[in-house]
Amino acid sequence: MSMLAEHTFKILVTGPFAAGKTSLIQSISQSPVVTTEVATSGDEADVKALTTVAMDFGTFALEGADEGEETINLLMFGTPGQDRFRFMTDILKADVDVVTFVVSAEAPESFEEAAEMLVLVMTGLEAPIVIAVNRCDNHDRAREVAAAIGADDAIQVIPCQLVDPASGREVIAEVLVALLQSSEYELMSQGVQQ
Amino acid sequence: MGLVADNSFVADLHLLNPNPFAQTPTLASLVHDRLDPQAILNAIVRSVAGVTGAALATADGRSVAHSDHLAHDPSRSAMIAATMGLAGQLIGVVGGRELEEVIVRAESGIVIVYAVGNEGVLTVLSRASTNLHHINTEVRSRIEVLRTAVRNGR
Repeated sequence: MSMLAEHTFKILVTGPFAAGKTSLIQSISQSPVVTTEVATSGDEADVKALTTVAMDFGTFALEGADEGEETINLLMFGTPGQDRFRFMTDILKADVDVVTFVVSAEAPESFEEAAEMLVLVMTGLEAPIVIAVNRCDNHDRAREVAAAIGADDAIQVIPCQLVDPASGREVIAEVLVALLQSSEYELMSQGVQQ
Repeated sequence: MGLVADNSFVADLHLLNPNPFAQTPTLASLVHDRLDPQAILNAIVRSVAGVTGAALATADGRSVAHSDHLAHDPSRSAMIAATMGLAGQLIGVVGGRELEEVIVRAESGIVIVYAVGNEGVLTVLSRASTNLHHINTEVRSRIEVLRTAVRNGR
């Protein structure tokens, strides 16, 4: 009788306002997305009609191809992007396994804020990070954007178009790579094998 | 007709300012008070014993106005918006579609958050012993004018 190994990981999807966080979760979630979008007000309404005020939640499961292979469940928690909701990020980042930081290549005015957010989000976290550069098709440009927000060369960066589910799945593939490389996953796998 | 109209203004005046010896307002000041969100919030506070403050914000967490003696606190508006956002999803558990209110109760007091249409939220703070029915009555009679205030403040 085979033992089915199942691992569940918490993914934090964060980044500045209108970067594409909700789009990422909506494009790839395999369960109905819990979203808390409301009408946007003030000058932010010029950017988009709806904005997240508490969190988004979606799931993604990757089942092993063969019997007995591991199944990986990703629980994706998306944060609001505005600074006034920073307390939600502080709540949601507890016990996170991977951070997916979304930034829009078409919004250079957000890079300074994104750099500050990146520092704040990662403060106190040991988790690996993947930077998803949205509205971008070019790896070199994505790396430039990542550098502009203070990410060093060791951080995984991926260009993406998050309105496209296929692109969202590529981001998730990067997240899985980050997970596989993390020591926590290695330790969990060893524990299962023992 | 004029007498009837005048009497309704006086009734409203007593809601806005229960002091009968206060200076008689002008028509312009009455109209202003009817539309001014802070005056509306002050009226709610004065109308129910035990209510200690009221604040109006957009549904996406921006402050619109608050009653006298309640500190301006942008983070409160954001927390309220987040609370309403989650509660709006939670009511689906009981098959609800339109969130009406959220009540947070502690030994030290009560926070009641009302949906003001889809675009606004009203927060009422009160002592723990306050009659919630009275608060509901006062708030619901002013929801439409609050909705207008939110739209004007967006």
